[in-house]
Amino acid sequence: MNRLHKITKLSLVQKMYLLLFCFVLYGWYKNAFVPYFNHYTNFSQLILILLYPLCGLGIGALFDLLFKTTHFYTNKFYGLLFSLILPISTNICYFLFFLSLLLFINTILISRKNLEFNFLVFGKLLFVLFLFLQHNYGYANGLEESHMFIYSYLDGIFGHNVSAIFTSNVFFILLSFGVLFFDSYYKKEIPFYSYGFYIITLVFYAFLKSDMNFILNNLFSSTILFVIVFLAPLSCFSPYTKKRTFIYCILFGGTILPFSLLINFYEGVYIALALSNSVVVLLNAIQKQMVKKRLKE
Amino acid sequence: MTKLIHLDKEPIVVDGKVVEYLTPDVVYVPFPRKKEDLKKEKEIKKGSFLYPNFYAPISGKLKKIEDCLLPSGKWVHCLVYENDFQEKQVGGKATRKKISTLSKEEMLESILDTRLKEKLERSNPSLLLISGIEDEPYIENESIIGQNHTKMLVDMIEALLSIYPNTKAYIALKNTDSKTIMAYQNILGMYKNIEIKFVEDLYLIGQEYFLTKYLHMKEPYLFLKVSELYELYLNIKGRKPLTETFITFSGNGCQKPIVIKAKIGTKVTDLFFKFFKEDLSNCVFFVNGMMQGKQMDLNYLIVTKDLKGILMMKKQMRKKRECIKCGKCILLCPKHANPLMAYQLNRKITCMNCGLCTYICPSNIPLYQYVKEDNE
Repeated sequence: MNRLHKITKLSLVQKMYLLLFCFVLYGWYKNAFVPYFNHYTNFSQLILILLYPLCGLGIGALFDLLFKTTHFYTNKFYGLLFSLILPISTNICYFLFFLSLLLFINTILISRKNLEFNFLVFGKLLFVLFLFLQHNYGYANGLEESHMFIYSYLDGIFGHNVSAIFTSNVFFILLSFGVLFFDSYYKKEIPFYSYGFYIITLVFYAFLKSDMNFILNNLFSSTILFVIVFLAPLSCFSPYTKKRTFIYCILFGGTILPFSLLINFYEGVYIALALSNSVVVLLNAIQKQMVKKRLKE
Repeated sequence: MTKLIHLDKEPIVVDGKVVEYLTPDVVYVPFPRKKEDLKKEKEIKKGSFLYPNFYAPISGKLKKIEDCLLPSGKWVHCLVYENDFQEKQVGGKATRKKISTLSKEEMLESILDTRLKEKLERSNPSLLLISGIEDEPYIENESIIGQNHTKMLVDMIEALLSIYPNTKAYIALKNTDSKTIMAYQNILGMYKNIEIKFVEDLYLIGQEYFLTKYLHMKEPYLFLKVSELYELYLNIKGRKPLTETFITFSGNGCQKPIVIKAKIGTKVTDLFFKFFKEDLSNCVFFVNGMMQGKQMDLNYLIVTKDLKGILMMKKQMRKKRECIKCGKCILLCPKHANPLMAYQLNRKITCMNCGLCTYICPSNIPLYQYVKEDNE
């Protein structure tokens, strides 16, 4: 039985689908249409690039159908999201294999055992490591690799920058945040705090090395902003109490820059998120044990 | 103070006029909580004392004993009295002409409800706070009583002000409840010590704790609901017990939402067959509202003082999903409880049973199953 008076509106996931669709369109334009138009890639790329989100959705839907998922965030949604954050050098076969494996782990282990590990982030890191070991790691498309065009900061904000396949448009990310901000189920405080702490670390860095070019590049980095707006606040993998949210945001926002400097800018933000997610999972487990103990007493 | 929220509601308008059903064929008198209070009177007269806080609603003879359902969801044995329709009354004390000249002792003596009596006895307020607010969506008892018995209520407030010198009274009303506001405003010009306080349409604002916080009240006060005031008026002015109560029949499955004045002890199905002819097979029934009430089968339900309303809602099953840990239930909980943890550990937690956690849950988890009321 449910309380029937709750008036249904467009749900958070439906909003996210609509927004991610915009990213897919822009990603196609930037990574397939423009390079093809400038003769940096062949015609097949125009179709091939769309296979990533389509396969992501398809495999996700298949898993939902097979395992009868009753989650608010379906495997279909995760499949789509995972397909957006990959390097452009990703081989479609590897992608399909990895995604299936991840969704299997999610369905069998994470969802059923009620675990809070952000499997998309851990999966992405493992996948990138795999690509790196295969010497097939790269975020720049043919056009970007050629260094034929010099982009301004404004170009970068409107999507002409090196980033994951479908996440390069900063303007869309900010627009998405504006839309999601008004959804009551979106954890808006996480992007706010995380970005705040990230800016603080950038300011500290600016004091150490007065490299304005570096700071501007990182302040509006689409990779970082996409993770902050879409991946970090995913309800299932983020904390739900105020204190833990604050810890999560400090850890996440505060470690983006160090990890980015230490490893690279495309993966640093994911490592930071994986770390903060793990800490929150640990804190949740401790709290659960404590409550159980108290109840036994 | 916890941030209260405005609930999404469908535009359901309850008719302002009260419909009466005061001639049931039989009434059901539930057994008292204490066994020693039980007296199996073979014949009763209207208003006769049966056990503490329960007075005979009709005159008639004992027919049988039957099991019935209370609005709280508990099954109890009931004495079934057949109505002789003669309305024979006990005592025969005449209605008082004026109540504003009564002393506190005289007033207290007339009050029949022990809880109300204690409340008035103990308090020494400098302010009377009257709540004309109904929190439950689609239930309108408090405002309908206000609209239909304004003069009576204001007279009672005036009488209470006379026993507590140097006090003033506030009547709290929702700023969206225009009909009730108009009804009070038409009459209050003559009463200088009585003021209307407008409050926002927020869920739980009608509760004492939240209302006093909202109005920033610091002075000692006496909090009464309009329905309590109505009962006091009957006891003090009419010198008779409360034997009838107001019940809202409403919801999106109800063609014409109404408030019915019915005898306590009447079977709810009797009221239904009398006033509703719609096909109810596509409806589910919520007793006492959807937030704090329960979904019940009405067949054995009887009218008691605690029954505020029956909501007929169209069946519209929503799929229960896995918890996404959005934390909204924790954020909204007025008691700062953790329904999410209760759900995860499959344990019950104590709270005020406001229903907000279930209302807000995006995964449609019936979190009310994991909470129990303070007084349960």
